[in-house]
Amino acid sequence: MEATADARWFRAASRSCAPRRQRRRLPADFVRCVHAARPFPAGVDRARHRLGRLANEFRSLPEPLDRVKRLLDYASELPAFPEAGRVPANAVSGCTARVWLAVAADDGEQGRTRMRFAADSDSEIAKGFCSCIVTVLDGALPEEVLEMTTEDFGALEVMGSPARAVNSRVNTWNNVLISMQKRTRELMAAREEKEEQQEGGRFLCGTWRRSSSDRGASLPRIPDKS
Amino acid sequence: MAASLCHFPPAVSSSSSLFVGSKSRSLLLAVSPFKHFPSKSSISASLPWTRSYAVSNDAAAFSVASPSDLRESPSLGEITRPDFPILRQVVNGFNLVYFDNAATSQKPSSVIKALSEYYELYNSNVHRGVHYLSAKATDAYEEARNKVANFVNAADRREIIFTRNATEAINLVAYSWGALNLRPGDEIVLTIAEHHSSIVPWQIVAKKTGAVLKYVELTKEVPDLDQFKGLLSKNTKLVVAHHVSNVLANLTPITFSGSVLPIDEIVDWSHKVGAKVLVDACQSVPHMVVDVQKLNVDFLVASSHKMCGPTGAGFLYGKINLLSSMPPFLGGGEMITDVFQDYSTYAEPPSRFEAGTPAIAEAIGLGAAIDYLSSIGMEKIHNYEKKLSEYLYYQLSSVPNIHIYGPAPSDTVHRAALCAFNVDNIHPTDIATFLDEQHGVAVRSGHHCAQPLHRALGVNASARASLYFYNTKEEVDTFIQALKDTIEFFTTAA
Repeated sequence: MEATADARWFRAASRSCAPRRQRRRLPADFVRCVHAARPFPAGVDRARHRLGRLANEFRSLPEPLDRVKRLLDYASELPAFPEAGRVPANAVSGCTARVWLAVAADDGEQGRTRMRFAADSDSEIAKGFCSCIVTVLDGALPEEVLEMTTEDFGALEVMGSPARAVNSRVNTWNNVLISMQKRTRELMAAREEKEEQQEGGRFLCGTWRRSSSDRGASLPRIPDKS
Repeated sequence: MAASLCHFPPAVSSSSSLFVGSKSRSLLLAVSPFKHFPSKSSISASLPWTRSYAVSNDAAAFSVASPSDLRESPSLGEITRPDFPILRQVVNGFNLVYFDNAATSQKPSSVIKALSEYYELYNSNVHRGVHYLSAKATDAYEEARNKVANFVNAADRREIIFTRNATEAINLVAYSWGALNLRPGDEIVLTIAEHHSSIVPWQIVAKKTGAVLKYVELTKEVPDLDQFKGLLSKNTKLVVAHHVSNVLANLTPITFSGSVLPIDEIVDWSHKVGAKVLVDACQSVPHMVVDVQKLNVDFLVASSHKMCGPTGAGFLYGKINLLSSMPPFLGGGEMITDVFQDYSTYAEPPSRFEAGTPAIAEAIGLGAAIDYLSSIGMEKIHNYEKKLSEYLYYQLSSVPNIHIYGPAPSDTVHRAALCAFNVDNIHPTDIATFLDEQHGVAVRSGHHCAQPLHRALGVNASARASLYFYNTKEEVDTFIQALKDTIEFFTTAA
């Protein structure tokens, strides 16, 4: 898989996933489609909603050991990460464990860009963290990804609480989220630049067509694609 | 608090005969099922041996004379723990077991008091003012320098340069001595087991000067002495070596026979080819007698915070003839004699290398730490830690599917009181996280600032338990039990 993962890989995997509420163990190569479980009212932040559900799930487990076990369950449910994706460009720096993160922008439904994430780690606990973050943010709008903070995940109250030592270089939650946000910004910036170049190309074509018959006129309209 | 009761250690085994006073009653000092440790006064009143010595926050009054009668004596860990307030706390519902001393040590009350007293009673800038407070601060700061010089047996107090830490001390040598003396093609020999602070400054300076770094690889998880001898040549200008590895725990001994990497011989061989020797003593100065004259090293560095002193202080030892020939590292106040518009003249060592207002309180705190350690005696500390190290190693060896890095202890091979290890199929970070969250045991996980070493060992990371003289055999037992519980959890969950 390329460092900037192909969104088609995420889409193909997500077609086969089961709704979260069925709670059956998914095959390793499926992506959890939490966002496909039920339609959201307009304006509802899906990522925040999923985070709230996740937090409630962990908080419902009173014993810290049970929360750790649930975290390891999430780790086991993370889809397999292709070996080809374990490249330096996908490595999340700063963690004491090795963590890989793949990011793609998906223009799937309704023409809205959604961010797709896949992650893996050689540490089961870090893998559990990754699984939780991916559960919340996979399929989220770019703005939902960017406005999330590490402290938000403190609501899970699970081992290695992200709210503690946020600025520590070994805070996996912080490192993974920062990496997600950084690469989301980069992808969006690259897309905007590409769109501007395309817009500029159409503008130039229009100018050439217009200028030959209407020199000195106002800014030309973008010609019809027909 | 049922979970805390699991910290009661198992029955005393035959291996505990190395440890005096390892019966269950002495455990009240080290491991308590209750949230609050007993106060010092209750300890003193309840224990029969307390009439033999005085336990006090005042390091000068501290005495560890063993009772002359046949009653059992408590271990050094049991005696000294009350001096460390931070050790008396509950973490995640469990009594803290602090096994991360190679990263930083805890501070006795006497050091904390020295820092407070400085700021409460005589805080003032040093070497400048003529008033009472300045004179007192200057005297205390320079007295700390004398203490460091005596502690490592430096021939001259001017051979001690205060720095922020050992890393800064190494950078000082690299940017001052290194920049002046290294030429293209010159070689710097280091071991693959060096701390990043002993590697990266030389990478930077080598790039600037055209010098070349040559590494001594491992054989059987210790630096290869034969390869080291083979690397030395007329091109070798500097040898950089650790005294004690923070991962492999191997000592680079002075006089032990049959041991690996004898540092006195390294110095001898290096000097014969005209090379200088810099020794990283961060993991040795806190734990044993280090005599720079006996070692005959050219440079030696150590950090205060690893030897019961505060963070923000460290020191460089350098032979005075070398220091006198070296240009300044940092420029500014204090290190000058005269300043003109277009040039300045510089002070003699040590001032030449101490630009700006120094970490005065921290240096004084380091002096107080040396007082405390000296009152115990470095030989006593070393002997106790040797036994603790062996106990830790052999108890850890009994854990299934574990690999401990570095040599096994024997009559001729002495390990430092630390073990870096891995357990099959369980990431060290998972181990460290679970030990902390579920047992209150603090160990380190990661590469321990030794990435080249970990690559040479074929692993990405390891867990590390590192002890100091205030740790006890009972804490080792607690750690081992917690580790077994951790391994069982992850094995079952898999």
